Amino acid sequence: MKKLYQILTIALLGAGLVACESLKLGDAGLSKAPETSGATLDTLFATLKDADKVLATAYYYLPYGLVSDFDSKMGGDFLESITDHFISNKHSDDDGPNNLYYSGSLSSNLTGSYRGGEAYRFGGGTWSKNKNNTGSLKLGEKDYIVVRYAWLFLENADRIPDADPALLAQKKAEAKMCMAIAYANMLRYVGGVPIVDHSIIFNEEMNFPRNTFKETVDYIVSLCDQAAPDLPWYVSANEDGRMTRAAALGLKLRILCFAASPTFNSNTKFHPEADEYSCYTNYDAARWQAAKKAADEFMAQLLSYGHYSLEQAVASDATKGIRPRDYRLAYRKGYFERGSSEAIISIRKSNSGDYHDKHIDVQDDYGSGGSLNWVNKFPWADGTPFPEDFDWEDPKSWEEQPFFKKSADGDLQVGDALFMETRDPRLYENLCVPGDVWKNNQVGPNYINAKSPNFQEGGTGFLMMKFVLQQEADRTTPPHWCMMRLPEVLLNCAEAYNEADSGPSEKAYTWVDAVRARVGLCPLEELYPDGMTQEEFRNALLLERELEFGFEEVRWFDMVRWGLVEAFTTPLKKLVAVGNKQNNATSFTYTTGDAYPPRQWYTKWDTKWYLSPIPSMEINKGYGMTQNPGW
Amino acid sequence: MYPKMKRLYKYIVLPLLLIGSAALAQEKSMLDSISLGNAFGMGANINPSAGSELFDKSPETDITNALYGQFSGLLVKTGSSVYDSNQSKLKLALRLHGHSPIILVDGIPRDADDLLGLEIASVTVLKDAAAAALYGVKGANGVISITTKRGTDSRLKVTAKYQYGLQKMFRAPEFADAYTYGFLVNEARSLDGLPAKYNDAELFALYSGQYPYAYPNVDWWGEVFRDHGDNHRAQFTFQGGNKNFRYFAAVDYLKEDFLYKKANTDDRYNANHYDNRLAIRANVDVNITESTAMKVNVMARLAEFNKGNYSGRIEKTLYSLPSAAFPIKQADGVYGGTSLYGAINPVAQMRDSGQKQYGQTKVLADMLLRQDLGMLLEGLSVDANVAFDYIGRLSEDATKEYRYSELVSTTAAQGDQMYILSEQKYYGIDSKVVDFSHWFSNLQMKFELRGRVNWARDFNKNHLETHLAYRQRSWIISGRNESSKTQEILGSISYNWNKRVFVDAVVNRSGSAYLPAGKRFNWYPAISVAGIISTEPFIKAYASAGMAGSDDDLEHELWRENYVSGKGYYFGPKGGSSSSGRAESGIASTSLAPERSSKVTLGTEMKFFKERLAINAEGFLEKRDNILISPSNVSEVIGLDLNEQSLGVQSYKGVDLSVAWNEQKGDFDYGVYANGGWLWTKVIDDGQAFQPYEYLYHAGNAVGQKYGLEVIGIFQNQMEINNSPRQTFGEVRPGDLKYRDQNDDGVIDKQDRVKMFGSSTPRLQFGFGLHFAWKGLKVYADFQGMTGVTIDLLDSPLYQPLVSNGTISKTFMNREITWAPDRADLATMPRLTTQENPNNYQANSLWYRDGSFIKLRNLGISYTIPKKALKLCDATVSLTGTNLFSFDNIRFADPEQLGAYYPSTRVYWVGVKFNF
Repeated sequence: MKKLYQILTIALLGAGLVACESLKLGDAGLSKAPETSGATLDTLFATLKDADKVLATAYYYLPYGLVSDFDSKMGGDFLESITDHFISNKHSDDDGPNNLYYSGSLSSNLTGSYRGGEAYRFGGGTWSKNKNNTGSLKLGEKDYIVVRYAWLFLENADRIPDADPALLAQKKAEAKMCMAIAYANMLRYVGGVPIVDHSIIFNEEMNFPRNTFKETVDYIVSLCDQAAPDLPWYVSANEDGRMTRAAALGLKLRILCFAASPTFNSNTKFHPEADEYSCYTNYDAARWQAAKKAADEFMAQLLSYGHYSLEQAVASDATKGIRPRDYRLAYRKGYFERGSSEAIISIRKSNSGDYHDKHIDVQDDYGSGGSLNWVNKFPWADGTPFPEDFDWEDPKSWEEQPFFKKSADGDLQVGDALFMETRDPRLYENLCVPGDVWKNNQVGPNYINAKSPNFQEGGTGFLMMKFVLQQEADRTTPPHWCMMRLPEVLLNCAEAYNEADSGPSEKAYTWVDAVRARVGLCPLEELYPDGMTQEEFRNALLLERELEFGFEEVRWFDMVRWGLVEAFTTPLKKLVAVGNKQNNATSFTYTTGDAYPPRQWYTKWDTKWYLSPIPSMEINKGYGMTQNPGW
Repeated sequence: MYPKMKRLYKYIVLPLLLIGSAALAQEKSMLDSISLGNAFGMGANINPSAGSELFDKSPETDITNALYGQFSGLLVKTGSSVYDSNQSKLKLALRLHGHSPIILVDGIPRDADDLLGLEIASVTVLKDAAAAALYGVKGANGVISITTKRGTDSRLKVTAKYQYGLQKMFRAPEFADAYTYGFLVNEARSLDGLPAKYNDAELFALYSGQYPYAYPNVDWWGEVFRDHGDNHRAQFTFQGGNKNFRYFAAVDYLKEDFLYKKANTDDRYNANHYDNRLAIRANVDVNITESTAMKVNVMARLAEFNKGNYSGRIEKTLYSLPSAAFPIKQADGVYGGTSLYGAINPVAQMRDSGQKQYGQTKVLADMLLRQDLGMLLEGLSVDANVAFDYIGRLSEDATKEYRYSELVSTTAAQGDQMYILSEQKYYGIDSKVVDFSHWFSNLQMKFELRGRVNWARDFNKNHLETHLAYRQRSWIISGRNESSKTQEILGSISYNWNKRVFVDAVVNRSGSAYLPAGKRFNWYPAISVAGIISTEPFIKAYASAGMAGSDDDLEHELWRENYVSGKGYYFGPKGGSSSSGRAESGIASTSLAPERSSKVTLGTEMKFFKERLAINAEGFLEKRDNILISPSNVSEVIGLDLNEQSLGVQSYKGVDLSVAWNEQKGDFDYGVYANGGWLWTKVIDDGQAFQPYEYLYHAGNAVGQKYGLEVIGIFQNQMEINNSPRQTFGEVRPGDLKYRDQNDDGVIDKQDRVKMFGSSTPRLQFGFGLHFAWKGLKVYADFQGMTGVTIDLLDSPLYQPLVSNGTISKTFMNREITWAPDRADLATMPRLTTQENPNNYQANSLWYRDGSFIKLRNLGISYTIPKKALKLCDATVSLTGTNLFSFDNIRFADPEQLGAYYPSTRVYWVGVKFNF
């Protein structure tokens, strides 16, 4: 009996163990892989719609030119601030132009708040995720993120079952274009870069040697060439913002012109240490021919498929004909509005209007502003040049007001009087000149007696108007960064022709004149009745680009690629305007002066500034990146 | 369960059990031969251990207090006292050679919180490589093995104890009164270049207390705290049994009322702070058959915890709220408050924010079954061991809002008379209805299963013992992927010759579910050897070497690639909605592995003078690799963030020394002890990216090394600021700290932060003490301390006075002289400021302090009245003080706790215990 009891007890205990549900021995005891908290590659590439989300991420990290939270470029300032167009007086600790460029203290060893204030920071602190999925701010640029997501899409797109082959090919071409833009961005700031041809996994050997300038250019061009046939010339309004064949051919032309320019395409190296990573190291006229071919390619497509055109002025008051303000609005529509007929590449990361406040913050109390040097380049409204010897301090010398004249046809009302613009309409859209109204109909605080007491010293007399705009009502549409507009393509075509043919041809004149005519300027031929030399035409093109693309990140690269040393070293001027009254001044007296702060470049120019330094931190990771000349 | 396993049971295990049960009765009870805890029979290493007397000495609620300075190498660290969702008000951390050891209670991993002092039989600290290897992927941080008391083969023994504890604050801060505050705020604002906050008339009003509503003066600390806290505790134990059935049971009831004042003002809820706990344990040992024994341990822990329903720590408010901020209540009885400070009136929070209540249930059970198989093979036995723990917590909130009011006042003078012009403003609402909500706030289930085959034999003078063990453990916490699971299979062999020469070897294959399938398991081997060189005096030398792992820092999914929502992108016409993006969550860790310790230990144990003097000295070298780090030295061309990687490397070395003298002479019994542990740590690789200056690298420095700017003075005037390197942390004014430009680049920035002072880990931690007993009288004292540890005054809110509308303390003003133009040469601190002042308030040489201390942890006296005097039982009356004093450099606060937490306490205890 006792034994039976013992046996029963043991049997029960054994059975208890066996019955235990959660008891799994062996590897099963550690259970299956845990449930994942996100989608896997398989689920993501199950449908084209899901895969498109990966592509959207590649788009999201494309370069953006508005001051935003998307990157820390220039420490939240404009690239224009380091050209001869604009002077920043933003005295924040992280401001790039003041702390790094004007002072000449940019280096490859930046830390603290200076880090991220560069025009371009290659790589930079890769931040790692910690347990809370937070990390320190990433201050480097995002181009390799674009490359990664583009490759993720390209590598996995074929796994998508039942995808429409044509649509799939188009999406792949979009991915290639995102990548081409990212590499083009890197090329223009730092020269040749490592070309990554797949999405990197962590344990692979970190060996990504720097590619040469030539290889990088060729790679960008090949990406554009591969993408172009699969892309539509333009997309429907609902898909607006996606990559098109026009974008592919336009980018190719831009990069070929950039690479063929004398800084990079020359037998004389732009810097003693310049090497095959930072330029071609020789001159080859074929590079301009290639650009000309790309121009023909774009123009042939434009002729066949149309769609893109310059936004033309419409008379707001039919009885008065087209007035300067009407030209100005057409110009604004071209660069500002999503879906404008001249947008070739349009980046739209946000619908938020907060870029506007950021743009004002950059200059408001800080007294930043456009340079008088730039303002003087804007011709009179008919296109005739503004006199170089204009005597600002003698009222007699300007019988015609330099910015506005009283006119019953004008639409700027100050007090009881009506005023009309006297200069190239694009001046007023780029900069707020004395007497104009600025954000939300306020008097532009750019003449001395209109400034509030908390204005800081340093104002140049011209505030940024582009993107800020005059009225609240002007800014009701969400912003985009129009990375490339049709006028740039036209001017690039003209440039390629002028350089390849050693002088302007009729076609080249047509393209420039189209851009000028859109804002009511006379054709170039009227200014040069005897025709133009190659150099005259080249300078006219560069000037036209200055007038057309203020704050659109064009001038910096023109100064770099053409080696415009004078633009770097000529001290910038400001205009001190005093109104006849504190509010609603109707006339001004002027004096000129040196813009503050001065730049080290005026006295110590060095061509190393053409390319950005590579952070030593990145070079020392030892995967193959090298330093740029002079840094 | 797999069919294979079922067959194993059916055809092997069950028959063996049956055969065993039929075996002949043995003379000795099997129960005596089974020990729980670290029962692998290893003999080479010396593992310091202590018995239950350790816990008789320390009456504190948290048993970890009893371990202060008792074991060389084991550091008990005071954490930060938090009186919140956690019931433990003082969180103590254990560090064994710099790491958090696993705590085994009767061989099962559990929290020290779960234990009562009265139920502990022994504590053993296992710090050698062989012991660590036994615990595989959980062993690298060392092991503290605790066994609980068990029944005995004797008649029932009952003890009953009552204990009362009285807490007093230890170095509480003293805050400035309203006038002092007002005066200093004006000074600070003037140094900030701001206008004064109070004019002379207002300062006078703060001084005189004439207008208590407009210009109040409130001692917030005194309004929240009373001058003592107390607790009552009643404990019973029952112990007894016979040869085949034994039991130990304990019941403990604790009621703790804290230092907070009683707060109940509303009969709809109870806002008082208290903590009631009931703990029950039953340990039962049964000889089921002559060859089958079972040990069952069951603990139940019930706790009820109550406080006002405010969020966060009220101490944080007390350290920052000026006495002149607002009155407790305005003239009309509405609570004081301002729009600036918001609803933070501490008195209102204590009394009128409702009630927060937690009920926690823990049931912890484990069972060991041993079958002796001596009839098959002499010395053979098998164990099956199961543990199941359940922890659940229910919460209930009674939520109430209160209204508060601000008197916005200005003064106006008319002749000699002062007039106050004021306007009353009201904020918030007084809830008419108390809102109740309740939820299950925490659920944990732990399950552990073990099986083991043991074989031990003596051959002449040779003793051989070998074990083959399997363990699996799961810990399930509510929430996705929160569970942790491990699995081990291990073999061990222990050999000794005549108890003179010892060799132990372990090999463990241990896996963690945090790792991807196929990479989960790792080998952890270890070996130790020892020899007794002489027996009189006793001298033993021992050494061990081996590896162990730790998956404590790992988490699920680090190795897995997955995609989460990314940023949207806006395709389409104006204002079009965004296309959602998908982004990778991070590059999967390919290097993922459990942290690994490779350790070598060398030691000696010596006993002289007939074992009256005992010395144990031990040194170790340890390399730790596979430490989870966030590498910053990885190329940006990857274009994606990295998950953490197991790539960090550190090294540790140390010396542990303990010396004790104990002697008994007739009725006299006395002893002294001292022990210390020295620890040197070094970072070898922490994935730090390229640094432009050599001194910015962390590698080569101690783990927890402090870094900061070097203060070289205080700026005396603007000219000095202009002529010095630019400091880039914020506006600099005269009276601010001046730093050394370490790299001579003319700018003071993060690149000027250098290594300074020591580490947060002490170089030496030690304990010493003595006891003296004569007949029934016993006196004892225990000291503990550490040196070579750096603490940061910025952890104390007292050292950032007035910042962010904060207050200022007399404690600070009495100890320091702040800079001002008229006392510049006396200044020990930078100027007062009402601003954030990142220039001054950041890691620098001014704030670091030597955190060394020696504390008197226990001082006790007890007298036992013998049974013959009382007839029924003997009785012990004891008087103990804990944390009575501290020798240190800090003086104004507990050097182990500078922050705004529940105050450090010294506690006086009275106890009476009856042994029936």
